Amino acid sequence: MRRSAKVILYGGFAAVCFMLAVVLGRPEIAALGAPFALVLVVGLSLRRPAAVRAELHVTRERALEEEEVEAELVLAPEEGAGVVRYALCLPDGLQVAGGHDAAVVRLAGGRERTLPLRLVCRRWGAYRLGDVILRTEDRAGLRSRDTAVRGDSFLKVYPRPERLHSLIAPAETQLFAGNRVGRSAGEGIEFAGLRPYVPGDRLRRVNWRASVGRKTLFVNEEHLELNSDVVIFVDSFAEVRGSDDGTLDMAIRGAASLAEHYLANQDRVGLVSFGAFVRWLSPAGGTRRLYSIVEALLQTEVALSFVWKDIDVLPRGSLTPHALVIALSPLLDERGVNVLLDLRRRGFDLVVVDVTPLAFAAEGRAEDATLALRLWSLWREALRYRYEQMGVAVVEWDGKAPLAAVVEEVRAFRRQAHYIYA
Amino acid sequence: MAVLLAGGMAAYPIVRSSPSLLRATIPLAAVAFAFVVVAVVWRSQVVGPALFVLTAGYLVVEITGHAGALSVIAYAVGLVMLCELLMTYRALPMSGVVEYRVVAERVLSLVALGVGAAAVAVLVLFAGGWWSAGALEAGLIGMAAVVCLFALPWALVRHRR
Repeated sequence: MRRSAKVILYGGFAAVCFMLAVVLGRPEIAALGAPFALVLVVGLSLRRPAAVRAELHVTRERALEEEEVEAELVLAPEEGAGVVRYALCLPDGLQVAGGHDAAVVRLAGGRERTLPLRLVCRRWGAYRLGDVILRTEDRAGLRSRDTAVRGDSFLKVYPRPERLHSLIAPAETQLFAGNRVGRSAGEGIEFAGLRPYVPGDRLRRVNWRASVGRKTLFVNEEHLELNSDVVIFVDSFAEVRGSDDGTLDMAIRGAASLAEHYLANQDRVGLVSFGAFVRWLSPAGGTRRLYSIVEALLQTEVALSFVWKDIDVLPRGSLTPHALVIALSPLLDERGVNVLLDLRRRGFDLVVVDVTPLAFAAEGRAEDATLALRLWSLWREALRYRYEQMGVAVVEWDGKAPLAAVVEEVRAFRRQAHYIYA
Repeated sequence: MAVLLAGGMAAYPIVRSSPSLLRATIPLAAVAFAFVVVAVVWRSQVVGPALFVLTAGYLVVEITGHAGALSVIAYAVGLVMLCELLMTYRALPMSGVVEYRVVAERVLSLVALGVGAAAVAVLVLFAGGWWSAGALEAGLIGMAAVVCLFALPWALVRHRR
């Protein structure tokens, strides 16, 4: 509990007036100070400000970006509290869309009060909610009690998924059944060719039309329907942020969307978050893997680190052989750039989505600033060319174009590359 | 509302002062009004200086002449109301809302405060104008003054216990 500035001001003013009245022998001056003394005497005789508890209840634990979540702020007085001033401290990624995050309310009759709120999730992340600062005052405003409540509600905001019409097809498939047409022949749907009948072949596979012409039995061969491993590589060494978005935000959104679509396509998906903190998830399939990938992505953050890291810090199981590695990187940190080059040298099928920081770089007015920006963009172009020379598809993504356009661009590059390197 | 009240209270000594005192009252009124404006616009803690300067301007005029009882009571009520308005405004949240019931309650308490302040001012003026030669009455008044003198510090420190 603390005293208001009013106590000193009113007390000082009343004392000065009373002293002047005595010294000058003028009761009128005492009459000017008397109301202030009255406020002090009456106000300090009133009940002290009561303590108030606050709790924030969120109706859901999970939400998507841009979704709205209903919440309730419950204010409960420990004694008969009157007027309560509260300020709800929300994390940066959340905003109040309905209700008030700061207000002065009255708790009538000392009963608890529930204030409805509607929160809008602006940015992905795992948030702890419910930090509230409360202030209660006595009726005269002479004493106040401040209380800081630490919240214990949690809300996970998942990145907004992007719609993808097609996916980047991996160069190699794995051994498990899936939706991709494998190179090897076997039993599937896509016709691969004909071969002479051998004992053990099922009769339903015999191609009677071809067999009649050649006077011997031929059977159809199909491509095997297999799955593939996809490893999503998020470079979190550095980022460039704008006012409400940044390269890491874009990378996380892209990674979550890609993981969701590949898992829906029966592929196995793994994750490598490579930065100051290295996190990985070995490729696996299913809905559980989707949740574990998104949970891991929510914990991804850019932290300052000078430790030199290369691909050797990753365990063997995190990058399975013949896996397609899709890297989402702003290509800002030399460590991230070198790791991607190293992956390609080790024979991984690599795609680099350059989450360009140029979209967030403000163009300076000075001639030097313009020149520096041009030099930087030229340097980035040279870096992308270096990747392309190694057969890596590199596509710039500024966040304005949908991720589907990036995927189509990669697919076009890989079709072209197929003709060149075939 | 506080600015209007402050404007009226700052102008009052200028209206009542003789031409020879205008050189003192006008600067005091201007400074007091400026303090109130600063307190309203920037929510700064200059309510104290505004209060003291306003009182100084009033005293300059009223000490040199005859202070009417009604004028003293009105000015005393005005001073305390102005301070309460400025303090209440300063305590309002920068962003956020104040419930209608809270505002209504505050207005009622301000009205009650105004009535109480006027009553106290009347009481003080009445006590100041009452003269008695009797030892018994003088003793009783002295005891009442001592009680009042101790009541204020007691009320100030009571919440610490």
